[in-house]
Amino acid sequence: MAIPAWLRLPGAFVLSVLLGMTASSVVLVAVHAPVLETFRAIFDGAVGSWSALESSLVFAEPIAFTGLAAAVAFRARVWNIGGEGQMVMGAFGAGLIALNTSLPAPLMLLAVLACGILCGALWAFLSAALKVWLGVNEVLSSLMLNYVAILWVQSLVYGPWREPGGGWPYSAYFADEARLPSLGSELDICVVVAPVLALALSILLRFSRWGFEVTVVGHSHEAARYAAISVTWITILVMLVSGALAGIAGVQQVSGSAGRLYVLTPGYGYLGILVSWLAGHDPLLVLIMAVFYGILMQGGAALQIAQIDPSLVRVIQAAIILFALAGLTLARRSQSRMHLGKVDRA
Amino acid sequence: MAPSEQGVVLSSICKRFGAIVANDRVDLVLKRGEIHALLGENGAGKSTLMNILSGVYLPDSGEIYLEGEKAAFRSPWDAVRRGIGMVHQHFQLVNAFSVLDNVLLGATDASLRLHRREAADRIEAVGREHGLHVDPHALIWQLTVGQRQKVEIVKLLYRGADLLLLDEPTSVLTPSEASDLYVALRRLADAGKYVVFITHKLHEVMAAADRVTVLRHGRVVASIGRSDASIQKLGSLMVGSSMPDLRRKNSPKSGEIALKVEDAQTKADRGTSGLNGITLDVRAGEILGIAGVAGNGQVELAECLAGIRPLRHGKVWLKDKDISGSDARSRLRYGLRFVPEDRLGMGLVPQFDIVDNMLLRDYRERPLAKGVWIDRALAGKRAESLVRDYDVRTPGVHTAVRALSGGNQQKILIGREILAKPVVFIVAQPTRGLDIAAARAVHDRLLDLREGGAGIILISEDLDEILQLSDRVAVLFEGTVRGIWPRDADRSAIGAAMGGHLLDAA
Repeated sequence: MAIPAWLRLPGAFVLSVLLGMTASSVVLVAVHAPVLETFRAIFDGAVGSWSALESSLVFAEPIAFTGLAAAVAFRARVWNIGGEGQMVMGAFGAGLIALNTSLPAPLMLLAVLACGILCGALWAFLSAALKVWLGVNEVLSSLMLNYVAILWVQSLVYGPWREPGGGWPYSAYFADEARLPSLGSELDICVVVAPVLALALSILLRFSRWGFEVTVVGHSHEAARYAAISVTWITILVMLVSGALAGIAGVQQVSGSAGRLYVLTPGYGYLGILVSWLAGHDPLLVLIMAVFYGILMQGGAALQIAQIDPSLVRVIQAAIILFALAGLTLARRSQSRMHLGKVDRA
Repeated sequence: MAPSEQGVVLSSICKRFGAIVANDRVDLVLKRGEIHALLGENGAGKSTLMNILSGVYLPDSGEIYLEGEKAAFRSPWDAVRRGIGMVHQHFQLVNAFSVLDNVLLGATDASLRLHRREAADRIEAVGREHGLHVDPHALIWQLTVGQRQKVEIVKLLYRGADLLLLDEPTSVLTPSEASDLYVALRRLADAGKYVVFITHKLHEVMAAADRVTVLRHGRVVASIGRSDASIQKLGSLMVGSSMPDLRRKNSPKSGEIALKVEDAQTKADRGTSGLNGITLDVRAGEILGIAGVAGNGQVELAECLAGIRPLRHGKVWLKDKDISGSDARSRLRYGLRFVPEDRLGMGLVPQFDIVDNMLLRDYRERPLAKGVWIDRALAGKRAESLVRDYDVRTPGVHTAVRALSGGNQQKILIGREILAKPVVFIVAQPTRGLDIAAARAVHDRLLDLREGGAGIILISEDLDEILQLSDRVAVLFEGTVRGIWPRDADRSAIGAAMGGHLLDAA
């Protein structure tokens, strides 16, 4: 089969998404839901108009950051599952400055951002330190720290930081100086920041000494030892960067259109993991996959508005994602096998 | 001839893997009571043929006859049931289990209950009968490598094996253990078993076999009795031409001391010796051979010298500089280069292409590093010139190194380290798994390096290689130096020291 190499991944992706839609339409037919109208509603709701696309990008924004966070760690085979908690701590860091200090305009936002990034990074550092010095598996520690972070912010917004006189578990609104500049009705500046960061990461990973070290550690700890690369140091560094990126997602959530600290919508941290796998841990593809996921989420939201059973929405989303993940994984595997022209002799 | 005397016949066996023909119309006749050697280089098709005989692979065409009766093995179990057993090069034993448990593991009796006492008695009986005594209750990890090999053979005999296949059986043994093995094989043959062993060592054929079949590029090139064979003849049959002459070494120029290590101690990896006080030196322009059976501290010594494993005690000097406290990075900068034995696990990153592997150890130094960036264009040029100079067979420099053959991988690894103009060069198992031509190429590079004035430490389990290249030979045993011999020393003294015995250390 003469499929050009550059076409293999996009081809596999489009094909898998179509297969996922086919599979979910079987379910739709089985429950007598109108197949064509359903997919049309998804399309119209998610990409059919500028405002629809904007809503999709609102979903994509935090996923892009948590996806980049996951990709950086996974490149080094450091399994940071704690994007969720690091994101929540980023939101906390933003709230810490925004609710407790008053600074002039440019400084305030910088301080909010810096504190959010720092808190996300520190939260990740806990897992990194436990891993490199005490041998605790980072999957377990980072996962469990997610719950700690979520409960911590919950206790704040239900308790001391709750808006005085407010009935909901929200903090007071941040001052305008602590808010991210907005673009359009719901989007903020992060929609531009994410691609810039993805490009920077992509260049660093490919062309910098640091990126080379991360890649070597990701492939072989023994080779890293032989090359005098400190696996300990790289693990810590990668976790710090990963936590910082997840922290930005948290800042974006509270300093963006919400403008106050609240118990964040759960899941963006975990979706980052999924998106990173879809993207093969390539920062630029993470962006594309984050947008793709945002479209699916917004499409689902549109369906719910159109009175379609929310559980069916989940079925459609899950089927498409599962097929996409399987298709991309297979395509990548066959690609790497193509490079192995020679068969080992027995 | 009566059918029972026809023996085991493999007739016109063909087997392909993709584009590679591993066995091309191979005929092989095995006789009862005979030790048959299967000789050939790596990739000649020996292992494929034995895997076909033991039911692991199905031949694409060709027949197997067991004493006149046609056999069709669909799985290794079929072969086991017909009395064919194989001892693999890497033992298939559970180290935490006793000999008895290992023998019972996979034994074919269709009974739910394990009759352990009867089994233990039978193991001892089998051992007595064939001169292979092993204690059924000993744990595997407590046994020496030679004893473990006996366990493997007993395991097969216990299951009623009539035909024993041994894949490179002496590669893990000391010379004296190897002689013990030859005696044991002879007893098995005398007891009327079929014995086949795979090897690429010519003297082993002369020492142990009655008959030898030589394979080259998947074809049988000769099948002759030992009385008709000689080392030279077998060698030229195996490589397809007369063997290239060994390059003559000029006498050492005996320069200044390039590397000295004094009372080096470090702790052990699991299952190996640490270093228990090693004192050595190597001079510029000299090759110091380190002989010894695997696991006696070779890996630890090399890694401690390279600075990637901490030394618990002792000192290391590079020329006059005390580098005991220097990290691996500074030792690289000082010109101390190291080729580890684990090529793909450590020396190279298998998924990386040749270009990125050129960067592996030098990406942080000029000229490959430009500030925080790495210069892949320069690495690419280096990769191309290395491919040319070392005759690396590859589709291009952007091929992943895991797709290359072992010999080509080794050329890249050694080439990269030599490119850095080493002052001291430590190389471990440089030719393991390489065919003769590739091994010669590697040896030539080491001799070039020696003539260029580098101090070389050559660690190898292959005593022939050590004796051929080294100016002096040190034997490592249980983390200590058992003695240092001059280049023309007596082979048997060195062999004895490898087993921990001292004859006449100089």
